[in-house]
Amino acid sequence: MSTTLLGRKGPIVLVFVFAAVAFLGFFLPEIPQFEFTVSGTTNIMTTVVAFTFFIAVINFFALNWRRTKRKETGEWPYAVYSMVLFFVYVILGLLPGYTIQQHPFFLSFYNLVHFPVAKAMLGILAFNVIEGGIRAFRVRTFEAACMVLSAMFVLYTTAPIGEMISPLIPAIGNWTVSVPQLAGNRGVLISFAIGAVALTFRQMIGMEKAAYLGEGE
Amino acid sequence: MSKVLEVIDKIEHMDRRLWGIFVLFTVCFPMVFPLGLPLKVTWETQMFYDYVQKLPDGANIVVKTAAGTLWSEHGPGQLAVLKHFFSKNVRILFWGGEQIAQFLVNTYFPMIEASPKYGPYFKQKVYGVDYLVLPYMPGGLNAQVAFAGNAFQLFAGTKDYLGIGFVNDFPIMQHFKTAYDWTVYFVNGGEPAVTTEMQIYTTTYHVPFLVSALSSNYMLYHMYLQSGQFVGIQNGMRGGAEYEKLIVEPTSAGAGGMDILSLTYTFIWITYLLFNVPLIIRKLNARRGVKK
Repeated sequence: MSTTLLGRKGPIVLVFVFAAVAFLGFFLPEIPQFEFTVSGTTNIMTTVVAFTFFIAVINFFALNWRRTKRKETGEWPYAVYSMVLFFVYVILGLLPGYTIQQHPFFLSFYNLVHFPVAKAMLGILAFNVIEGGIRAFRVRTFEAACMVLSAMFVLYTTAPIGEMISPLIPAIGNWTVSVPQLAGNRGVLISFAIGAVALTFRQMIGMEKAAYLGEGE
Repeated sequence: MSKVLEVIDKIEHMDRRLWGIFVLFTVCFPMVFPLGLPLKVTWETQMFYDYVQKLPDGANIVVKTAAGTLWSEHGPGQLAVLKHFFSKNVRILFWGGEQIAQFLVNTYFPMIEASPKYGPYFKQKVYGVDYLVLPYMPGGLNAQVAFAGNAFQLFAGTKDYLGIGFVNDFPIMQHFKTAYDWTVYFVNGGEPAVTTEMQIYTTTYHVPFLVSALSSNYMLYHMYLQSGQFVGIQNGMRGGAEYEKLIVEPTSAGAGGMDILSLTYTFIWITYLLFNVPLIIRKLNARRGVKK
């Protein structure tokens, strides 16, 4: 009996109670009792998420330590590197004499290493996106032709050179964005929202157990 | 004709590294030789600017900005908006999500302070009274729901990002108890965060949104602009350049980026046309052959 309660009915009851509280609090925020309950549950959630950081750190070290110990080909030097970087960054963030994360070393590490590297990654991505776009956009069907034409007009609507060539280009681009694009997007979003509501209700009443009881896997 | 098609085919199938060189050229050329193309302010950005311009004295603004990898896309825009905010008699609360607190304090604030036009306004503002940078709060969406519902409860016993004092002891917090107190929410970033935040703050608390969007999300956000949930959108780098023009403070990152955008898009246009022409000609030829 107790096993069934903890193993099967317990999670379903918990999901129902918390979902109902969040649901009522979302739609009836004017009622102070609901507002308080929502704050309470969300604060619990925030604390739970904070604890997951500890699990993430433990998992990070367990994984990288195992790779280093086994000397997995091509991976262990990166595992050591990431562990060393982790420690260096944490120590720099906690250096005494300054408020947390305000030491010049820590700031330099972020501004001169992390930030340029992150931007460089995005820059590399841009080359691939442009090349991929050029190769993929081929007028093989009528639908593809519509897509290529829309892309061309919308691209030039964003760039000032489009207005210089002809005022018609931004006019067509804006119409594409405001009318057919929006209609399609709305349709997708509304159907998605209806599906999400149905799935949420199924989870609330315990019909969709795969997500937290592992059924059907 | 067939020789021309062959040449185009060869160009299309050339070494992909050469494509990189072409793209690099289109990006670097305007840096050396600026084109200085005229920029027209779009109605969405104008709407954004007008909304900020008309904010009443004592308005409470919550700001959630993004940083890091996508800075070149929306950084100039958010910086221009922050300059505009600081020139107004408003209170600004910076929500601490991800690395942004660090980015704000170390990158944006010195830039605003160094601005000849907006620096003096910023220097007049008092930390903790006119603006405050909240610490990082884990929990993502849940933390944001808690922040909207009861900020005092969420930040109880927590110090601000700079570690100067407890969040709830700062006078500015008296004006940000719940999301009902917020005049407007300025958010910067992409999907699905912005839509989800809008569902919480606008649907539940009726807080209008000002959004500095990535160009890839800009089209989706038009929907919310039409419905009135958003009261202004900036379209990525272009929106930023337009806003810089409106606040009369152009930078190399925003206005300068427009030349790069123009040239890169022209390159894409040319390739779309060039590589689709042989395809269309061959299709037409094939059709004629069938008819014969």
